[in-house]
Amino acid sequence: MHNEIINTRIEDNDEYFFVDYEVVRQCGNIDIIRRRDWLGICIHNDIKNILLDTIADDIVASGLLAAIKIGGQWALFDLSRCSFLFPPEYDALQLNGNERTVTLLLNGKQGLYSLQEKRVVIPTLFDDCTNNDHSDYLWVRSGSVYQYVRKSDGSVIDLGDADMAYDTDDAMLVKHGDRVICLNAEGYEDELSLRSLVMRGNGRLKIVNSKLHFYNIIDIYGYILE
Amino acid sequence: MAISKLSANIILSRYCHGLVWNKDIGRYLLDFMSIDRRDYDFIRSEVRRYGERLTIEDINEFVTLCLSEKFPSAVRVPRLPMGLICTGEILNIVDSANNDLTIMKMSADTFLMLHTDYKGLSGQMLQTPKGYVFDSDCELPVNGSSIVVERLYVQPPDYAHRLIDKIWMNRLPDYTCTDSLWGLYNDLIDNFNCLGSMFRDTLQHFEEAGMSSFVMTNLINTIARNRKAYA
Repeated sequence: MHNEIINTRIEDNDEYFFVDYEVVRQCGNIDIIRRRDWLGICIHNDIKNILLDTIADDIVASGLLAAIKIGGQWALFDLSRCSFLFPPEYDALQLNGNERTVTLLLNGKQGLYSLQEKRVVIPTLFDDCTNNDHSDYLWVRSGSVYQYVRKSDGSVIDLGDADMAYDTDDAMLVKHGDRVICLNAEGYEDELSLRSLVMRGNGRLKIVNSKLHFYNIIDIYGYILE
Repeated sequence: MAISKLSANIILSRYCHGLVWNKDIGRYLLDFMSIDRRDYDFIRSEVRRYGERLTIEDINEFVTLCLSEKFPSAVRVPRLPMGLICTGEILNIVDSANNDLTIMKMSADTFLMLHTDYKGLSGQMLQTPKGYVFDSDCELPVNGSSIVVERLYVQPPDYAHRLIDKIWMNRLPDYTCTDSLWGLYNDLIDNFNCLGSMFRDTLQHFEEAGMSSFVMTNLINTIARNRKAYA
């Protein structure tokens, strides 16, 4: 269906080959161009070097990526390869430049696309989710319930009544009241792993939820000091 | 109900002087002035300015918690390598004969015996071999002999000490834990007779070493108990 829309627009666009492109705006090394109602992308000041035909309703470019709106849905376009990373099937996209990820929004639910792995690592099923994919464990939230999604196999791990989940490197860290606990792969408390993480920082561990701009410093018992 | 940091701050900073020796339980506890109706009205009006509500029961519960002589339940751990024990941590060991030994990690391979059923060992240093791992049935060398560890517990800090840390040691998160507590311990012994007037200074020294008030009061209590024992 998405390919049909794209192909129809490409065919439509070809029929109007005699209409000149108009440069709408410049974004870094590219120009956003318009022919009739639709937008496309070309190399800056080189209208003959077209990266994307004029098939889009809207374009938001950032670095080597461009979010492309076609038929009311958004797709992601890789400018360096001139190819779509995924077709137009999301209501909105948020490019997380520093994290090399894209937050996906569909029917009010969020998911995450990894630019590193070139795949959706969190499906669009959650009210909120992390914006980075550094760890194998990625936090998600449905209502007030936090869970982790294991990136490697997509399984969802329940965290009980956790108040908060953090971005982590190699463990699941969860806040319960004024204490943070570490969970193992099965979802059980793993005190030695927490100790190991805290001892690496000489008795202090700073844990972050970058999406929510939130951090805590904990001690060896997992108690939140700040 | 646990009261807010703001309320705790007002109560502790205005009505708590420091530490006082409780001879019945043989421990230092926080020393509170009595809080009467007029004080309660003052505290209530202070916290109300920040949109908080506080009842007499809340204050009583908080002060009772601060004066509590009981620590929270120790957490049993089946196995604990030395490298995963932080300086200042308190371990409770029960041996095969059900004797109790409470120790605090002072440096990479030394502990201070805080309290024990073994006579004459309280306040002594305990040295562990390099790379020692606490495990069930492991042997712990104690004063030339050895005891067989049956059960091992970690003693976490109680609510009152964590509140003191947040209010009087609010830079504690900025400091990492010191490698050795022996210097601070020796300072406590040297200045023991004037600890009452040096309460806040002592807190600051421990804070800068990344050590909580829980560590500090446990060391003070050990010194006090030993002084009484030898008096």
